[in-house]
Amino acid sequence: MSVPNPPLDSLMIAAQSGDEAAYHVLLKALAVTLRGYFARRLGRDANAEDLVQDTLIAIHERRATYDPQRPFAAWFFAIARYKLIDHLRATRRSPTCAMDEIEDFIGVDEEPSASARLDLERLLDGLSPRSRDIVRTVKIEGQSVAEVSQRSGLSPIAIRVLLHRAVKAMSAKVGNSRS
Amino acid sequence: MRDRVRFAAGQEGISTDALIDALAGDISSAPVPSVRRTLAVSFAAGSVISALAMLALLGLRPDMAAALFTASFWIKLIFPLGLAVAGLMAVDRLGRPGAEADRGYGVGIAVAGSMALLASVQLITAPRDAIRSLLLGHTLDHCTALIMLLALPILAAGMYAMRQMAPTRLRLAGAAVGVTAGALSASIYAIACNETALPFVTLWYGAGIALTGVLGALLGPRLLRW
Repeated sequence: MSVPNPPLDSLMIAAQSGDEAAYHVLLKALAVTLRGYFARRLGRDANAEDLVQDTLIAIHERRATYDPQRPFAAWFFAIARYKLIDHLRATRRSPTCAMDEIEDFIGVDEEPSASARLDLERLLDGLSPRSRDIVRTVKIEGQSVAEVSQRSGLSPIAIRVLLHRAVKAMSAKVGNSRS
Repeated sequence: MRDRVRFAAGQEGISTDALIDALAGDISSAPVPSVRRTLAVSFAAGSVISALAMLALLGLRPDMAAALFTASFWIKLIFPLGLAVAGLMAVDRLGRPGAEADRGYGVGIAVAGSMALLASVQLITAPRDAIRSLLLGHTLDHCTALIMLLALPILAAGMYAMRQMAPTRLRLAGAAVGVTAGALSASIYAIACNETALPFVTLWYGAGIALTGVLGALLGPRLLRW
């Protein structure tokens, strides 16, 4: 894989030492690169932009694993590939369905019958541990995004993005099991 | 298909530009924690727990003072420590996207190869009726199992550390954590064990380390996803 833009290495190194402006420029450039990368591999997938965001969040949260001694492009594309494979694995054969269904399902919980709770657990099981935790605390226990943010150290916006994805993944699963 | 459209980018959630603004604003407040320090602290903490468990369960070998002057004591300590160094090198690489762990593998193969060579020399030069005890020792019934048991706290700590990193090959990353945990555990166990035969150590310490590696490989895909 060719290096798209050599200065990215130095932008990343600056970002690692806390240079906000450099990081902003870097993320903008990466978003463009990712959009192209995923578009070439997914075609006209409506989820491609979500995947771009997921990958940007992953890059942000795992930025300490970049070793300045090594090429940035190798690090960056390995993360993009990992996220792409993850995405394909999760969505390949599961059509998405209406999100309201799952919102109702999680939010109301009027009849906490054992089977409903089991279903919910099964849906939650399909999520990453962190997403599961966020869905639990925000959607089920009703904590605010700000509270979860303080506790987990993730930015509120990252939590909102993750929550949005998690609910979508769960609704996809519901749609899948019904079809 | 209709539902897909509802989730099209920009219709809900957050725009990518807003996300980038938020992420960029997040960095000056949160300095990047050093990955190597997390690794070092985790494996050290796990090893301390394992060493305390060894002292509580087994104690030092009874002939400790005399053993310090034997080559077998030091070889038994250095062999697993060498594998632990190789394992840590691999762990550090495999936790970083896009990095290969070739050097770690190289060191590991060199250490295991040297040990196998020393063991072979001891076997070849031994009288025929000593071979059985060189291979099977007198602690075979618990040696490998205890190494695996003492590896568990280190394995847990190592998996915790690896979860802070970004492994893209989860099985391999889990295996590297497992081998490192097994190797550190074996060097701790070596202080409690009074076997002296190198073939025994190569085989059964090696088995404990390898099986802990297998355990790590099995756990990797479950524990290390991100």
